[in-house]
Amino acid sequence: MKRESQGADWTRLLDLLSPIHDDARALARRLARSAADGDDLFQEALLRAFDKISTLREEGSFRSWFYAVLLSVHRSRCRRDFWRRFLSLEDLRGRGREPAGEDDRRLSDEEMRARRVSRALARLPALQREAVVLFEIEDCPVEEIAALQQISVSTAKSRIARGREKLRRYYERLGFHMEGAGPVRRKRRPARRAPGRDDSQRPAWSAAESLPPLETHDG
Amino acid sequence: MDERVGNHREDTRRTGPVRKEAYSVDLEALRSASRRGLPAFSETSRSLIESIENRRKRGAWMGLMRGIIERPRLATVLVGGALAAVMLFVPISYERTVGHEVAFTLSGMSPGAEAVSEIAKEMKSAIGADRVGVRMAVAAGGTSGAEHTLTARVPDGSHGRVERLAASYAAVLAKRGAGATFSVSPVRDLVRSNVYLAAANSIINIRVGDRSADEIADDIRWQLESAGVVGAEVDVSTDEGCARICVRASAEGNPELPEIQCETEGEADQKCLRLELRRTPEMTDADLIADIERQLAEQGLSGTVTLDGDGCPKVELDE
Repeated sequence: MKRESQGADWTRLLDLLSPIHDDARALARRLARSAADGDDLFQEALLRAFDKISTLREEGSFRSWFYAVLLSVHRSRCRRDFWRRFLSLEDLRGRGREPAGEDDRRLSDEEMRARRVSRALARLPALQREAVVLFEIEDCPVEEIAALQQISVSTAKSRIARGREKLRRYYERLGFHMEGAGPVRRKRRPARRAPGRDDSQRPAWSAAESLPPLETHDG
Repeated sequence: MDERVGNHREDTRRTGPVRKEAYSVDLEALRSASRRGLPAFSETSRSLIESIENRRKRGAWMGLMRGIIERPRLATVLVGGALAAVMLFVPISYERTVGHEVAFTLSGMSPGAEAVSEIAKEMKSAIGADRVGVRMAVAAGGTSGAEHTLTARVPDGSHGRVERLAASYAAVLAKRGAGATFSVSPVRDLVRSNVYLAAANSIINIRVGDRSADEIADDIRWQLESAGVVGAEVDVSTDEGCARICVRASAEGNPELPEIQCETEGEADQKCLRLELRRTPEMTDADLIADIERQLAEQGLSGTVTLDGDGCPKVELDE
């Protein structure tokens, strides 16, 4: 009897998950340091969702419910890994898959940007990271973020603002500054040149890798 | 290079002018990159079902150990060994009945009478007490009617045995004209032992062999009291190698009753029929009999069930 009810549970869970599968997977990767970490996070969240599927009251609110589970698992994993201060260097493209595309240089540029901001996000406390990702990438309204994190709207706004401020300072240390509403420009730094090397050989996106850690605090 | 310059998403959430932060373009890149190479939904379904099956096979305990030790066999050995080590070697504290306090109240004797000290000495040997203390209370207005309470500590865990001794000594005193009432109460102490013994403390093991009914009953009472069961009544009768054991304990004061295990000796075909009756106030005799018949059926037996005057069942098994 128990196995039959479990079978019904996972059927129900998968049916509800199907429409939001890709969005939820992508969110997990955005919260995590890498695609592989994100996939692990998603899998763990899915298992927890299976355990808690009986608590889902309205199937219409499955997306919010599952996202709340995902965020909860994300925080649990962060607490588990609190001693980790290094970033994963794993490829964002996914395990064992080479990027396919006509313009390899363009794909590589996007990948490097994604990697850079992932590193920046990884330096934020878990709650700020969630708030910033949900707001900036997932396009969630502040009210929804407040509901998912079970905080007030003002706290959610404050959390987003602090997260964005930290991202801004991180990028400034990298040499990236905002200029009006235009594209990102990087201040040129005097660089040591190898003999015989000219500027055309310098990659456009190079950024300092070793930076002092940003001050972190839960917000 | 960046197609999104000047083509930013219309943001209906913001009311002020849009500032293009340095990280915003990178966030857009993360948005695209994180959707590339996503596992298919079918793969997600398959891995979820696999995870659930694996977890079910491992069991709840192994689920806890998951991620700690990678090798399941080693984990089983380590966990089992750790549990055994804890059970055998780690001392824990638990309460156990270590004796009884017997209080005799003598009335109508003169205060400080020599007879009281004589009775105290006699009582010590009659009931096997360690020591006897005497307390006297004198009624206001006179020396007559003083009440002497003799309290003795008996290092015997069997309530029944101590009570019988106290009753027989009270009868002796009554014959001499000294009115005496008595009470027996268990003395429990914190005992440090290992987990194994503590676990055994909550299991009543009834060994039926060639022991007499009184021996079996005393043993059961000792075990019940050691397990903290108060006010239990034990009736044992033996008849041609068959022992009928009835243990009755009220749920009041006994929130948890221990498990009773039966062990037989002698002939290989001897069986221990065990009936556990939990009678609630609303149960009738017929309900109780029906419950007994159900338990018989579960043990592959059938018979005629009746209740005696004390509410103890009598079962005559069918051949």
